Amino acid sequence: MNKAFYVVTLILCGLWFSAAAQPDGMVLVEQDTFMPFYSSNDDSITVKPFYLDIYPVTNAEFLDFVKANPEWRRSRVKSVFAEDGYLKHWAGDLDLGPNAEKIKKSPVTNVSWFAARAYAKWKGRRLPSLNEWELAASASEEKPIAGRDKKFVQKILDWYSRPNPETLPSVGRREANYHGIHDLHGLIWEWVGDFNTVFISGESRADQGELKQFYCAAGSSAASDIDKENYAAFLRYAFRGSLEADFSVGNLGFRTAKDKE
Amino acid sequence: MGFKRDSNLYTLIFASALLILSGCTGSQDFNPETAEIIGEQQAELTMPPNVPPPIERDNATKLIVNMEVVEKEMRLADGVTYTMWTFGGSVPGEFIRAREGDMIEFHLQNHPDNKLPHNIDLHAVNGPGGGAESTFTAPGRETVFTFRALNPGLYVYHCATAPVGMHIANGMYGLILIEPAEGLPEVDKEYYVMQSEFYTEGNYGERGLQPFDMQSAIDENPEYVVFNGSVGSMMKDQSITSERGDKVRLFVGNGGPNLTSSFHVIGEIFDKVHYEGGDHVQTNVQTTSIPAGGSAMVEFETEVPGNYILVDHAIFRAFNKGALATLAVSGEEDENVYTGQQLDKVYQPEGGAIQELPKEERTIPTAETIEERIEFGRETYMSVCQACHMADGSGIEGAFPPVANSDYLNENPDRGISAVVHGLSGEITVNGETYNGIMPRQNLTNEEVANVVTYLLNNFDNAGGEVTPEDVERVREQGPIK
Amino acid sequence: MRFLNVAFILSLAIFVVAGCSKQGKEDVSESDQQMMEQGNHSVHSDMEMRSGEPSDESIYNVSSSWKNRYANRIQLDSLRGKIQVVAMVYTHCEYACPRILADMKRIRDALSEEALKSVNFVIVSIDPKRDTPERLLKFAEENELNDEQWTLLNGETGDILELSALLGVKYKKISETDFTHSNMITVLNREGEIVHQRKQLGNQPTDIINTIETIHVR
Repeated sequence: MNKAFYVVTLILCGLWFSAAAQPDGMVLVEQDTFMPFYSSNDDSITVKPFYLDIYPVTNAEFLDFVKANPEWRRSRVKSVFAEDGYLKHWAGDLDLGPNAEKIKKSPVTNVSWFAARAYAKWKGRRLPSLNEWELAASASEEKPIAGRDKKFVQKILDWYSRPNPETLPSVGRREANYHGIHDLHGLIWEWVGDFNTVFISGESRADQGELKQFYCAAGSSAASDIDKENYAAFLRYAFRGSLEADFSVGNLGFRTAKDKE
Repeated sequence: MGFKRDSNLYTLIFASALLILSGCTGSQDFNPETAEIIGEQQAELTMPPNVPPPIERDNATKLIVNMEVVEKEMRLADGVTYTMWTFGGSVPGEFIRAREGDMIEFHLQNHPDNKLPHNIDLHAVNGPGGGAESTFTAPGRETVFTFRALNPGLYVYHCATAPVGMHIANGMYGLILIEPAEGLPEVDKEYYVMQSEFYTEGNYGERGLQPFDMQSAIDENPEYVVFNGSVGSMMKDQSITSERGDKVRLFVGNGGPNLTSSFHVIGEIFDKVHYEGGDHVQTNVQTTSIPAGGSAMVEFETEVPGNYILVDHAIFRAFNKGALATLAVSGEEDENVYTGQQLDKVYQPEGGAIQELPKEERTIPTAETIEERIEFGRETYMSVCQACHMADGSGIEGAFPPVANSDYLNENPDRGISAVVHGLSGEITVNGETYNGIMPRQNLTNEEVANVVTYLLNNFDNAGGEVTPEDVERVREQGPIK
Repeated sequence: MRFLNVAFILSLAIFVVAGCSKQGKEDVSESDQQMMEQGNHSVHSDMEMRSGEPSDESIYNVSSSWKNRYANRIQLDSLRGKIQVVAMVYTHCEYACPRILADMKRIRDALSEEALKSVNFVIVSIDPKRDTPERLLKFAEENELNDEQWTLLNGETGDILELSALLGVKYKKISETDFTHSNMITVLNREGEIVHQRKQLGNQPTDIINTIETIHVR
């Protein structure tokens, strides 16, 4: 009896502790194992626990960043870190333009990988790794790993095949997923720290080696677990493969992550 | 001696002059790889069914092609839309016309509002990936590569970004023509026609924005097989046209992604087919096979005025999935080639060896109630009428009038009876659209006709009511009405 | 009469020959001109002096710190001032990396003495755990990479990632012992701006050699 009470207290303390340590605006994604779509069966990936932003970084938040870091203003940024279209949807260095009210809570886009990385660093954080992002994003509203949930997957696919709206809606308008994270799907693409580990060349049909399944996923019956889920992931990987670190893309933003101490 | 030497010299000079002449300017020895590039120009691109004008140049040039990739919602059929991924804003993509030997500087622009990276594989390219590798382009970017048009012919181009099948299934294909150095024979009309399939979640005709359905693409079971990107893209006032006596050339491609087309024009014989888009010509062809990712150039003379229907002769694709288009030929009739109907009379062979089966022998259920009538009528509709008037009664625009919500039928149900028992030809107007086709007389009993017309009246948003076998008999006696 | 004929054909032949050779000549001069223009452009961007802030396009805008084969700390921008031929590889690699190294040596051997004076070769390891400074030293000795001409760098994972992003190099650890990676060789001018990249194995490094020969002239 006494022993049980002791254990329960310990667990409760532990819970309280971890809740208290939660960084602002982030939630913990517990350690988990998932199967990246290009893997063969014994290639599941275990991701250590980490914190991830509940929402993508917004225009207003990014504005604070460039205010504090003049070298990341549109007119001052070094071209080696961001190409011409950097923050092109803003009216000026510190001016969100006539749509300011409408877009300040929208995710910031047209930011290069270098800029996203600098923002995260400024916040004392980092960009999530590709595997961390994919793990967090494989959660539906109900399940941590929902890759086989047809409805979940179809919703993602539908978004991928629709053009962008004129102005992006605010973050957080969709339901949070299992982890309490919003907008991993259905709003923007997101940078990951190691985006350049994707070996999809322009000639996808000739991509060789470990990522052979990239093109086999187009319907090879041999790979039985290749299904629509993989198609959604396939599109994401192909998108990442088309990027370079200085690109500024109209529907590409980011969120930050942090190690669990 | 002197003469002989002179003669030798003469021959020698003559021969060497000939040699030089042919080496430098002879068209048979035109070498597209080394032909001199003179000047540069912007390629004129056209949306289907139009084709840029023939190339007048007799030299190779630097040809600049600017092609923009646009992802947008477009019409797939009436009331049905689909998010198309397009080369140049149309499906199929813009037509590119170049000349053998041209140095083609290709600019691929991915619109900033697009969601996905794209590239282009032109089958006219000699080089890895057909340009795919050099044109992998993120949204809001432009890539450039240059290739030399070494092989004349009609080639497909398409997107080859992973997942390739999905990019093609969503509309990313088109045609590029490399004219031979000596040009193509002159014709009066040229058109661009490309067949392809669409795989949607909803069934054929199901309204609204239809998402792509992966499984049916893998199963190669499309809901839509269409020419130029949508059902009815070349029907009625959008029909392609020619005049009597015109020489017509169709540049026909097949974007796939899966099916091979059995391309046929009803009522025409192709005088010439450059099958597979290559040099060889087959003459007098009825139907030509066009593989996915392949093409053909077909030529024919439109001798007789009238409407000619382009189909995939795998015929259910034409009448049930949308692979129909119209070539409208205007001009004076020429009875020397085609007379039109000259006679229509009762045919009674002597001896009467072949007869219709006695009607009594067919087991036709007799409907006791209007519900039964509707139910039996539904069966008859599905087996007899649905192929043309479609399962949902919507018909096929420009070819077969709708029986759904049909003012023609509701105003006077006897018209429906008459069409079934007497057949129907000549112009009629249904829901504001004019149709000018032929419906053959159907070999059905009075009971069956009563059932099917009653089924129609009580379905598809029609006005309701019942038709009895007696009504049918009356209309049979009375003769055709419109 | 016959003479006239002969003369006519002769002159025709000459005319045609002239036409042919004129065409050839134009081709040559055009491509020469293109090359000169490219050369001029590069020379121009190389004219900026090595002083003060790095230029906007310079990779020396990042201030990462690395270890060389002697475990001495060096800053990335200490490479400024020389033309750099850079590859990102790992020393345990058995297939592509030896070929990249062989190509770098071929470039070295093909360069004029003048050019070679202003060029340095950089090998950045993408496998920092195993490619310690000691390992790099041993690798350099085995492959005869002298200290004057070759810089071998060991760094932090984040800095390697950043440099790869700057150079457009992709790499990924695929097992405990192996990486996949782009087989890229990059030429940086004295300012640290990318002036040429060869993306695939198998091409002759002629373009790299030509680029360096053009830009080393101050």
